[in-house]
Parts: sequence; structure tokens; C-alpha cells
Amino acid sequence: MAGETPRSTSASQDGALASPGTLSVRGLVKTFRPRGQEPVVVLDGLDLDVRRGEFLSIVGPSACGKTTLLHILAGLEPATAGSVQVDAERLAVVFQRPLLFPWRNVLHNVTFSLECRGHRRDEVAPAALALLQRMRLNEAAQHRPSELSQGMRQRVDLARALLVEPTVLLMDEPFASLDAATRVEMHAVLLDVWREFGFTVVFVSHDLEEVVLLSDRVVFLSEKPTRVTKVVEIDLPRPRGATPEARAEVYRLARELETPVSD
Amino acid sequence: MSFAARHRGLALGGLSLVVVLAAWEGATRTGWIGPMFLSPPSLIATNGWTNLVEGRWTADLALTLSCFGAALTLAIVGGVLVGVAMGASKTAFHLLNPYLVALNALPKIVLCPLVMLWFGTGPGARVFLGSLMAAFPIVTATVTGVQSLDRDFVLLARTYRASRWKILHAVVLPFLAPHALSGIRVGVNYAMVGVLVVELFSSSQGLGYRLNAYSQNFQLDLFFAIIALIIAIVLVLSRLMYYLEVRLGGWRNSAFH
Repeated sequence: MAGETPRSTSASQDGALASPGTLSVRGLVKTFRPRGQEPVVVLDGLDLDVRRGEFLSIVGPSACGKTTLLHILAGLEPATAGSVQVDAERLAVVFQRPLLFPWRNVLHNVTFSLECRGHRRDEVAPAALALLQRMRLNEAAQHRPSELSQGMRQRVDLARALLVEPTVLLMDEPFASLDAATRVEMHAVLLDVWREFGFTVVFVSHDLEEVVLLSDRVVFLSEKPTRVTKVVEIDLPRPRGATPEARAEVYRLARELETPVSD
Repeated sequence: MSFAARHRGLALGGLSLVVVLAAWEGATRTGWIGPMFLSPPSLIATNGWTNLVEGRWTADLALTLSCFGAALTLAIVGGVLVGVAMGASKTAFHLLNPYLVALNALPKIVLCPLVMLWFGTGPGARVFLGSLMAAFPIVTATVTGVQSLDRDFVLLARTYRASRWKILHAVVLPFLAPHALSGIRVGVNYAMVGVLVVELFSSSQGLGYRLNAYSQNFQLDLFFAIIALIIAIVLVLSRLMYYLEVRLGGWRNSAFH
């Protein structure tokens, strides 16, 4: 699996390959078959297209399979049916928990991502340090993760993901467990690096204001068996929420999107 | 505060040792405790030291230590492998668990006669019994370690397309190391017991043989000298394991997730 580009996890092979940094999902079905119980259809025929360099968010109720969808996109789980084409030379995932190795210091936690691609630790350390500086974590390099706050750990996680210079960045409610102030900071950091590196982002969240603030488009998912209910283009000009008026605009749009779609 | 007050634990321990040794010396020198029971510490120390430096025990030490080393190595390799297999695979766990439970309950030292029947009285028997006895705490500790490994760490490594080898040596092993080491620390003791017990029963060389020979010849001073030697060896190794455990597992003390 390692080093294949582009990667296609398909139950059925589908046409021509998309261009780099894009994701294409057709009729995605995921069924879980727990032992001794009825099979559960979690994803019931999803169609999704993510454009190159786009910031796409996915929202939906709890347990609708957002994380499962992300795992499938990340290649961690196979689809039961349908096709998934992720054209990403380098993929990185940021989970809800930072998942830093407690036995490594911060710097070596960051270098881990490139180590997996065959690079040597000391070779990539300078780049890792530069990223840590970017995340305003200059002093943290030699510390253990246990010595950092939640927000700092999340930033280390992001640095680790960015070190591989991902074409596609998948994020599974990465800021859900942070306090409001830290979350605002992380939004700024994320948008900053996204603007600079131009990778594609698929961002799972349950927070509508967050997705309106960050995304180009928002995909709404239904309850299980999950389908796409609507896709909304967010055409607020960037930077968003920079002024009180802009923030009010974000809030208004989020409330508007909240109203359930009657299908 | 005086030195003694600040290092209260050390002072009490030292005092206790001095008092007991002095009493021991007095009791044995005056014949209040006969030479059939104990030897004076001074005699143990001097005669023991003489024998040691004159190389009388070198061959025995070499044999016992090499059998011990082999037994411990086998126990570590085998114990960790079985432990990882059982911890990682439910099938493997259920298949092997009945034997683990039964053999854990058995004081394996009683298998000595059987082991000698199988292997004779040479190094084979010592290594076999020693490794058998030492393996169990290692397996148990390793299984616990593998079961407590957060699977999301492996998931994370997979998202970065880590090879199986990378996952094993960069994620699983560093996590497991302190767990396995706590089992290995216990295993050190058991490996030594296994080797010595075979030597005690019937052999012509080794520290256990010496113990047997000296007790039969009523040379209790040399008997106790060998005892002291064994204590020293096991202590040093245990300390080493403990030090490694702290070095490789210090991160366990800070609870965070």
C-alpha cells in the first residue's frame, strides 16, 4: 500500500483517474456486520466530489458515520460497495485526539510522519523545527507531550501532518475538545497554512459556525443509513469573521443552514 | 538536621544490618549457635573472598551464569513473542490461555525431576527449567502491555503508510518495553531458581552443585559465601532491569491522553 499514487479503493473500478488533490466518491456503501447481530448499514450510497485545493466540510448528526467515511477516505477501512478515488500523493490525517507518542519528545513526534516514508529522523529534524516554529511552539521541541496543554498537542499533531506536505488533509473533528479561545487560534493557524500550501482539506465537524468560517463548501449528512442531504457553497469573502459585522454574517449563515432539510 | 536524620531510611537499614551481623557474629563465635547451623559472617567473608579470588569457583560461576543467561534470553524472546501473539490475536489468546493459566498455577520448580529425566543433568536441563520458569511472568506482563496499547496509535501510523516493521519497532516495542521489563525483572529471579535447582539435585559443577557439596561437608561458611554471591548477582541484574524500566518507561508516570 505504501507509495502508491494515485490510490483507488474501489469495490468497482471507475473510469479515468481524477487530478491530484481531488477525491471522488460514488455510491459509497459501508455495512458493519457485528457478530451475532443484524448488519448495520452506516453509509448508504454517498456521492462526493472534492476539488483540488478546496476546503470541504462534512457535517452530520452524531453516529451518522462521519468518522467511518473519513477512515474510508484515509484508506484505513474498505468500502462495502461503491468507489472511492483519492488522488493524493501524500495524505495526512488529523484525528480528534492528538495521538502523540508519549515516549518521544515533541520534535520526534513531528518527524514520525516522514520517518514512515523512509526518511531519517535527523534528516528531517530541521524541517520539523521550522514547522514547530510556525505553530509557535519553538520552545516545545525537547519536551514530552505530557508537558504540553491540549491546544499545544493539537498543534504538534498538525505540524506532524504538515511535515509530509500533504496533497490532501483529512481532519476528524480536530478542535472539538478544545476550549473556545484555543479553537479560534487553531482556526487561524489552519487557514494560514492552508492558504500557503494550498492542499485539499476534508474537515469533519458538528459545529456549523466553525464550518461556515473555514469552508468553501459544506456537505450535510443525514442520520443512519447515511446519505448526502445537501451541499452548500459558502461564498462569504475571505478572511471571514475578521470584523464584528463579518462575524455576525458567519453566525447568521450558520443559523440559516441549521434548519433541517425536508426530503 | 544531622546526616542520619535526613537519610532516615538508609540509616535505619544500615543500623539494622550492623546489629544483626554483630549479633550473628557474636552468637556463632561464642558457640551459642553451633557450626552446624550458621557460620560467623567474618569467616564467610574471608573464606569466601579467598576462594573467589583464587579462582576456585570460576568454572562453576561460568557454567551457572551461562546457563542462567541462556535461560533468561530464551524466556525473554519466547515470552515476548508469545505475549505479543496472545495480546494481539483473540484466537491465539483463547488457544493458549488454558495452558497459561494451568502452568501459572503450578509451582514449576516441582517439574525438576521430570526435566532431569528428559535432559539429564547437564546444561540442557538447567536452561530448560530456568527458561520455563522465567517465561511466565514475561508472557503475562507482555500480554497486559499489548492489550493496553491504544490501537489508535497503530491507526495513526497506518495513515502515514508506515510499514509493518516500522509500526512494530517504532510504536509497539517502545510502548511494550516497560511492561515487558517489569515481567523480565521477575523472570531474572525465576531463571536463577530454575538453574540452581537442577544443579542442587544432581550435578558436578555449578553454584548449585557447590551449595549441595558444601552443605553435605558441613562447610557452612563457604555455603553462605555462595549464597551471598548469588544474592549479589541477582540484585545487580534486578537493579539493571529496574533502571532500564525507568529509562524506557518514565513516560508512563505522567497520565495523559
